[in-house]
Amino acid sequence: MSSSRKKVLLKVIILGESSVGKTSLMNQYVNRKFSNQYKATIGADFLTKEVTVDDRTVTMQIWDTAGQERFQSLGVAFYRGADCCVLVFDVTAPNTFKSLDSWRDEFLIQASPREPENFPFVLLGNKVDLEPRAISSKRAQQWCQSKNNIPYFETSAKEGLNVEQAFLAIAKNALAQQNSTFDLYNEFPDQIKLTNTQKPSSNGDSCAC
Amino acid sequence: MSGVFGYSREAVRVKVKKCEGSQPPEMRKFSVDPQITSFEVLQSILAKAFDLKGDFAICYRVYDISGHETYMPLLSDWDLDAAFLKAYNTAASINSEPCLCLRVDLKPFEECSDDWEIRQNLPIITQIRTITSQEAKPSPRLHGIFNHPLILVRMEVLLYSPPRPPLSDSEFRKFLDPVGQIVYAKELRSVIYFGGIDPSLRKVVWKHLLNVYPEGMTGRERMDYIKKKALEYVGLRETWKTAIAQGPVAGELAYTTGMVRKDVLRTDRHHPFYAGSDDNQNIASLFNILTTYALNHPKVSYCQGMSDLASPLLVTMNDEAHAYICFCALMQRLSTNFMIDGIAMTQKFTHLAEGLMYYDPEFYNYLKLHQADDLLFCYRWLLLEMKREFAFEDSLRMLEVLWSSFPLIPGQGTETVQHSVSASNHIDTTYQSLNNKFKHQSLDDSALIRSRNKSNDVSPKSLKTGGSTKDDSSSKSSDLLPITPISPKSPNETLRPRSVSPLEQKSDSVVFNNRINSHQLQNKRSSNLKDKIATAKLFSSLDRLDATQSIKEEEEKEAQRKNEKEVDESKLDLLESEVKEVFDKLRYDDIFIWENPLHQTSPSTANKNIFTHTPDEQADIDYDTPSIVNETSATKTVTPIRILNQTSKDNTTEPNPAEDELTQEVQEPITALPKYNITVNGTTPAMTNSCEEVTESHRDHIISKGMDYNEMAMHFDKMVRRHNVIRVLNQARQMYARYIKQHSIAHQKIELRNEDC
Repeated sequence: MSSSRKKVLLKVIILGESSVGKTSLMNQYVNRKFSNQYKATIGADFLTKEVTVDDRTVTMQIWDTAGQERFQSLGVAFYRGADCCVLVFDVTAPNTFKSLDSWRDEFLIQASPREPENFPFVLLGNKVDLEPRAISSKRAQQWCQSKNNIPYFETSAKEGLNVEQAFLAIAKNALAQQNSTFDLYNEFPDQIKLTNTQKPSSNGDSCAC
Repeated sequence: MSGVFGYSREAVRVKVKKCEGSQPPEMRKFSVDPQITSFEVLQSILAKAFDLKGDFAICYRVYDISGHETYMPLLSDWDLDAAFLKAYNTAASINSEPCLCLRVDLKPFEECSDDWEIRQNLPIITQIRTITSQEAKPSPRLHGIFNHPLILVRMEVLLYSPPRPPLSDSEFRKFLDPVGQIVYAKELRSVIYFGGIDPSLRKVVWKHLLNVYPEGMTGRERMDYIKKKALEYVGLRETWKTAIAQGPVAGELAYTTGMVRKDVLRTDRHHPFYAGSDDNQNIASLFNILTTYALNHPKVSYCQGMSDLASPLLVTMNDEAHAYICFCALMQRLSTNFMIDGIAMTQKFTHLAEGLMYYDPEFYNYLKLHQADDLLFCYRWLLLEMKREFAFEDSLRMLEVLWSSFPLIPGQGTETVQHSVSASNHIDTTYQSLNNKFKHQSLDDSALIRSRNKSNDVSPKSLKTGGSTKDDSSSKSSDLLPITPISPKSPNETLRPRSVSPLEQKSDSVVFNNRINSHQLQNKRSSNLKDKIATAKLFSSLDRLDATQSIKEEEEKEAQRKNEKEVDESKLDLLESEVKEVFDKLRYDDIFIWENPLHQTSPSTANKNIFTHTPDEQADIDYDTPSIVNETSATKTVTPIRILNQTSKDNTTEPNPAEDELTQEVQEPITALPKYNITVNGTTPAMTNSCEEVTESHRDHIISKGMDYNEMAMHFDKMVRRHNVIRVLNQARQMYARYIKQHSIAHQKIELRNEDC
């Protein structure tokens, strides 16, 4: 256990209409459990899970949010510092697909990431175990393409189908996002180094004079 | 106390060796001031110094008679005192500076739940800290058990039993006159506050608690009244049912029913009442209640969480119409929580944070350090009045005790089944269309318009007139609706407890509140003062704010004797009646016409509260620097607690000069008092206190494990439905009592000052 090395924490937000299966997906992924009796999420809950991405162990903090837009006033607090946003819809409920745009926009407004157009989203079409299906894969993929090629997964939280793969992709995207943000921040210490290197040289100049 | 043992008041050097498995030990050095370094503080210093996240054990080095080095476990303040003393003695014998040598052993991270079980057996520890942090302000050092034995003994006896048995049927009858009028309404609430209600009586008594009935009804009148209301309900329900039956539903009706359906299917399904298949008739009833409410209260509509609030009502009433009436009454107070503007919830968070800051600044700062001071993990607790945090049956007790702490609202009674539309001045136009579609044929249009007008003009003026009319119940209830506080700044302000200045809101609501209550206050003030003095006398043995240390100790002894006597008699009744007496005096006369003492002394305070928004980052940085223990320097004494208090003052509690001035005069606890504005926001201190209690009771655990935000939130998540309701309520009552006590003393001082002027 190396306590000295700083752990990487990835913050992931799950958004989508009420009862598309956000809580179920999170619990399936983290606890490998499914229950028919999850209660409506109030505010937000979250779980964390350690994942290995490209030989690197990171902690993924998954925020499960309330599906009703009434709780969006909490958005600012919850979305802040997110590294990836997971949009979920129910493949059997067309309205949950239609509202994806507004969830995405809402997130971008509330979280106001540095580069909104490059911020990583992942789309999950959940409940593929159920019939009848209302949204085809093709339609979902088209939507993803229109949004700067969002990765798309079809999942079943109930059967654990594709959940692991989806969250691994989420983790990868989140990590990439965080690294790019770190690069931005890293400009700052560089600048200090510059002044440091200048200082001795100026001192040297004064000494020479 | 350390001084008592004769060692110097100077800093003591501390050398620490951390051992973790087979890894090479790490060393840290720093200095502490024994005067102010408690065991807990030491723990947090060590956790910081080594960046420890899990549990760890501390030992200190001693030499036995043969000069052999051994390590003694350091588990408490007593051990720490002994360790300091040893260090001092050793130093004196070899003529050097005292140095405390510690060893920290890491324990593997254990599941929280085991610890919780242990903790339940050791509630005393929490209690010691709570008391000391409040009463021993001048020296925040935890002096150990003997300073406050009385509370501890009392705690031990009372912690796991309620102060009195639940209200029974025969007892309930005592509060009624021969025709069934409730004649001792306040006392009734008081009894429920302490013991809850016998489950068989809930169906009847909850309606009173929720202010379903107008004041002064006889038993027969109440029956007629509820029958009438039930009929109205059926009418309302049939309206939308017909609309559904007539054809394809669309728009708001479809949206609402869709939302409600999703949620009722997952509300308390583990309870036998809702169990079984989705066709369970009780689920349908819950659906009907929520849909009817949403469609007839378009400004509130349906929001997730409401099903959790309605569910216990339906289980208890076991009657759809009655449950609906109760739900409307409950929502009268709670509907603002569900407003999209988040104002009411922001305010609740503010109060919670203030309460925590007051009751346990150390823990508050811990939360702040871990950026958890937004307390967002309490969101559900506040929104649902802790309903989900307890097992179902326990939550019923929790709810009734909470409700009993709310003011009687005379005249509110006639909670309209139809149109308490005035829930907010927040106008959501999308609901208006729905309103037009479904309401007009069934509702009293004039009343609707009236309440709409009111909702657009929620001014203190209109609130003042509340309670004057007798018959027009609907307008009365809208008038009295304490729902919309003058909106702090912009209505669009989203819920951001950390960045929205608490004081800004507070000041607004204080003004508001004072306006409502000013006339009552003038009448009651003189009689209140007497009560308060009496109460203060009663409590003075426990606590006198400006007492010097010596006087204080004397008083504590006296109080100890007093308490020992009480415990000898061991009759809970005694305590109960004593406390009850105090509560009767205070809760209704004092607390419910609460005003901000600070505001009162300096009427301009509110206007001065132009508090600049502190950027979060800045606040964190400000805080971080002094509290992090520098592991290498350590020549200067580390004074964690003092620093913590300092920062909390700088950052949050007292940004305006008027308050500062008062601080100097009456000392910190008073200024730090959470300023609850009951009439405005519908939270009582009792409510907030239960939340605080729950956070509080875990604070030692959290701090000792060095939990960060995630771990904390998950820890509380694991505790869902596992809190002990009796214990939580008991401690919340105590906090409430302390709050009232402090307030009354503060209030009294201000009165006296005013008289002097």
